[in-house]
Amino acid sequence: MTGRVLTFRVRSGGTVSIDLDRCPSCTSKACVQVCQKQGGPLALDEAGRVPVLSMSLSEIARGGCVECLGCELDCALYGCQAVVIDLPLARFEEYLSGLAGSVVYKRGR
Amino acid sequence: MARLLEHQGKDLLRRKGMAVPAGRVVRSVPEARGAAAEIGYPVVVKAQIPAGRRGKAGGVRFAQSEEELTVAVSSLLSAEVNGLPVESLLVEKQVSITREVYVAITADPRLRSPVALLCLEGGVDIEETIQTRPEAMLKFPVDILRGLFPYDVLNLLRDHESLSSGEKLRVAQATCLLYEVYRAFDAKLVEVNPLGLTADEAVALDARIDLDDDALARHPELQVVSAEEAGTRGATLLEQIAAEIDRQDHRGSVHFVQIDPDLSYARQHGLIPFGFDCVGAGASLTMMDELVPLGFYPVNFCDSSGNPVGSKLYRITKVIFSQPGIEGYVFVSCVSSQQLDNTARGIIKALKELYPETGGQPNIPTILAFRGAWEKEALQLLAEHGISQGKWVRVMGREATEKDVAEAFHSLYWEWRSALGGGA
Repeated sequence: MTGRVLTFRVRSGGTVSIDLDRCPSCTSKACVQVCQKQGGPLALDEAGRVPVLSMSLSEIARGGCVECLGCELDCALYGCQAVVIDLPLARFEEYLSGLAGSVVYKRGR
Repeated sequence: MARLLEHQGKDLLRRKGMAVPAGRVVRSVPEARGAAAEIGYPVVVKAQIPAGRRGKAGGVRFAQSEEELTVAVSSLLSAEVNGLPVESLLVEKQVSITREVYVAITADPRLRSPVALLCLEGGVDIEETIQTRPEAMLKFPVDILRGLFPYDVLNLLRDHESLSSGEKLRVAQATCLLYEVYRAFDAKLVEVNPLGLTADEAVALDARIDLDDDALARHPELQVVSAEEAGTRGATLLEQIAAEIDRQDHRGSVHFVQIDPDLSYARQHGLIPFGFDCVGAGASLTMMDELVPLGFYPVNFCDSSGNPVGSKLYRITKVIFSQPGIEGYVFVSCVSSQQLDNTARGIIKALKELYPETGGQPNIPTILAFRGAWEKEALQLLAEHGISQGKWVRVMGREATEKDVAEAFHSLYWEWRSALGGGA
């Protein structure tokens, strides 16, 4: 992502990033709609153009974001593909690199 | 449960003032020789594995000389003890004792309190002793607000003439030290078997400490890696990875255990391995009851319940799909109050990431049975994101019983196998 990015960390150890440059052209504002249903931190700015945070970063990091993942999934379907949620899984790559065989989703069936 | 290795347990005992033999952890013959030269012969060489009865299984050797030590270390490091590979050894000074006793602190669920346990006959075959002569085990329930004092143990030992008064005092002091360790580190069990008595002290010749894994967050200094209970074997790397998901976040849980990590059981019995996730451990067991007779075998147990956040389902779904050799995936929720739309979102995000070329549609038979609160929303999400439409996906709702789910998986699996050119 380049330009204006809204980023916040979540309780489980991950990051939500929203590419705000894509949002003004979005007509659905799907990320905000799904987030508000969950009581989450996303709201629209006063002009109704881009998402803003309705909670402090520390409130969000303590669990204000319920990590439903709806913002990313709904934005991908009904918005402008502006949301990326990165949820690292510690040592997972180490595990995969140490496997003798391939995992099923890497097989070309 | 976080079961410490012997040397880790002895380290905690040492911190509280308990006498333990001089020793060093080694991983090779040269290291062992260096340790023994420093400590002085004779030494004991002990396999460091998270399992008991090591002595009977050949996991404890004695060495009077460097030659004997070399043989002992070489054989132990290339062996399995109680089915566990030996990666490290504890080389310890051999201690001359006059007698040995069994001492432990654990929790008694019936009394709802800690209890001190002592057996003056020593701890060899302690389980058999408890069964055949329960009176040999002395018990002292500890009032957790009051604590344990040496005179409590001395009172317990008052009528046992086989111990001298000095030995009784040493046992009493050692028992209180064990209780200190039990409380200080949030243990579920602190067991010294045997506690060796010398002319002037009580020495912990072995140590088994099981910590309460729900309290591990209070003890980051211990740097204990814990995962769900998996019998006597150590946690696999994948189990450790899965355990970290819950450690960071207490909103719901994803309890993951690899039942058959190398698929050896499934292969040996001609069963078909599949990845498994259930909302509710009870539903998990009934699903297994339905699936195993049909020739399937879950290579893992997973209970994703307590209303976990979507991110937990995302992470655990990646974990489950990353078990090599699985030939299917089954997700089933019990009819619960869990917010299943969030559960579905986690699974969808994981599938889309694992299968980007198909938009998240898996290449193995996959059953997604959502039964409970927000199930309609969950099923709608699966359809909206194109998961339901996958050739090898069957989505089921509240009307499906466990039997229905198993039969649907069975039917889908053999259709898939047939398409691959490997029919029934």
